[in-house]
Amino acid sequence: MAILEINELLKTYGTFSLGPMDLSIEPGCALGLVGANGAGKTTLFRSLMGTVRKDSGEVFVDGVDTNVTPAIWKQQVGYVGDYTPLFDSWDGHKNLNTFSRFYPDFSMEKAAQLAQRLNLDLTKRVKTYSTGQRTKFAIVLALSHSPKILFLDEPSNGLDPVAREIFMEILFEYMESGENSLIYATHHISEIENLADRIVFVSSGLIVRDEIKEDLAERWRKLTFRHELPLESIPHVLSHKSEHPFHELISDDAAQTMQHLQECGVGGVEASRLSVEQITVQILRSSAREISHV
Amino acid sequence: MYSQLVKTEFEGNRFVLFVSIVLNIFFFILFSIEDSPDDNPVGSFMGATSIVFYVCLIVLAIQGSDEKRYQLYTLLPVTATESFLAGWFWVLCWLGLQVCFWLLFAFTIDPSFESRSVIEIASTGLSFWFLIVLIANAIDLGSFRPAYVQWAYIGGIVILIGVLARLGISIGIYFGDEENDFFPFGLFADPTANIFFVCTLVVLLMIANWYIFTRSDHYLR
Repeated sequence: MAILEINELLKTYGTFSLGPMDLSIEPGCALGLVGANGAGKTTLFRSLMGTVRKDSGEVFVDGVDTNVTPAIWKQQVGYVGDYTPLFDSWDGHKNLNTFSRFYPDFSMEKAAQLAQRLNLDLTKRVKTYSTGQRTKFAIVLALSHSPKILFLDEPSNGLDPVAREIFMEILFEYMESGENSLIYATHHISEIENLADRIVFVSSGLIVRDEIKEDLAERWRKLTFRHELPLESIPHVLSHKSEHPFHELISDDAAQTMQHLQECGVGGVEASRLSVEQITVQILRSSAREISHV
Repeated sequence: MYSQLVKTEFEGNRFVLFVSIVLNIFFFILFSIEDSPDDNPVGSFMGATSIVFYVCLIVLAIQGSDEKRYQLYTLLPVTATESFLAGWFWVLCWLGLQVCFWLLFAFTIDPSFESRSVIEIASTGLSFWFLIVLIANAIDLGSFRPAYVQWAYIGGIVILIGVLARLGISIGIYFGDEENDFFPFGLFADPTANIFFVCTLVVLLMIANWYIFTRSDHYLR
């Protein structure tokens, strides 16, 4: 059974529309949600958590229909959003104590350990926390009740490099059991290159690609060759630059593209690997082009 | 989870509640011992503590807005209805305490206080509830879509108040010389009819407030 299942989720704000979106996540899956600014990542999380009302669609968390069941399903979710509202006049300890009432599996001991690892002072008033410290607090809060799934919306914003490193270690430990899942939204793919095993690309509120990370690295290639005649309709090509007689292609299925080139009599094709970062840029660029054409 | 939310709401507002109680006690003592020409100490006490109540309410509203309190509750495993009920439970407990202070003061000053005056004081509490829910709707509509609904509501209320003022009908916000001014909306000669009318309005506005609150985009709060 999927830990998270989204069916036909739709949210419209003026001219921006998220979805309709379908997404399913199995236990043990670390999913990277990648998109440019304004692609709809934050709106997706807000719709899932209920801070914005979705227009339509169904969301199941651990098999529980969130439209029907009271918000008790949120006990299975840890959330780090773009902003974490807290009781500003209280210190970190008092905030944690208050939140612990709402989660039966909340562990103050675990919270204290996480805070220590992230070098977060819980005796300080939350009001005095910097953006990074507030994010650290949100991380502590999100993980202390042992959730089955984490929703992380650009969680490393404001974190210093050391805290970011520790945070990634914590996430790897969280995923170690093989039963927990997470969605990590970012526009910096390098953050999740090692963590994610599946990457979903969003653009203009829609899922444009849903890929297994290993497949991405295997299939995608940059192909360079020399050919005198013009080439048209090459399959699986996202980008084609040519300066007669040299050609440079980006293919999302190098084997298929190379077979086609062979059939067209093209020889001496050189294939080179692309980093996940380069692949991301290509996908987001091409999807932005496609959407603007529509 | 509802009881946990109520507990949290009381803890979150504890300081303002404390200030409100201290000031009520201060004015209680002041107006009890003051040997002034004021022939209406109950009215003076109610006036002073009403200002305290509304100022504290504004402070709480600003604090809640700064902390994004309802956005916070939305992220917790509680429903929007539970959050709505907890918020109102706290406000009504506080208002109830305020009415108790007024009654206690009135009985202390004049032990032969008439039952009719008790109803007048209680109905002033009712008019406060009416006014709070009227304002709460205007605020909550700020995170409700479409956005023009908020302005339409505020515009409608302003026009309504203007028309009532023009017709010389008290809306229960101030105390005048007339007896009926104690009652919210001195629309009818019979006080019971006025109270019934305002009760109906409060119930309708509370239902509207629940509808707006549970259908709002809470991240805007």
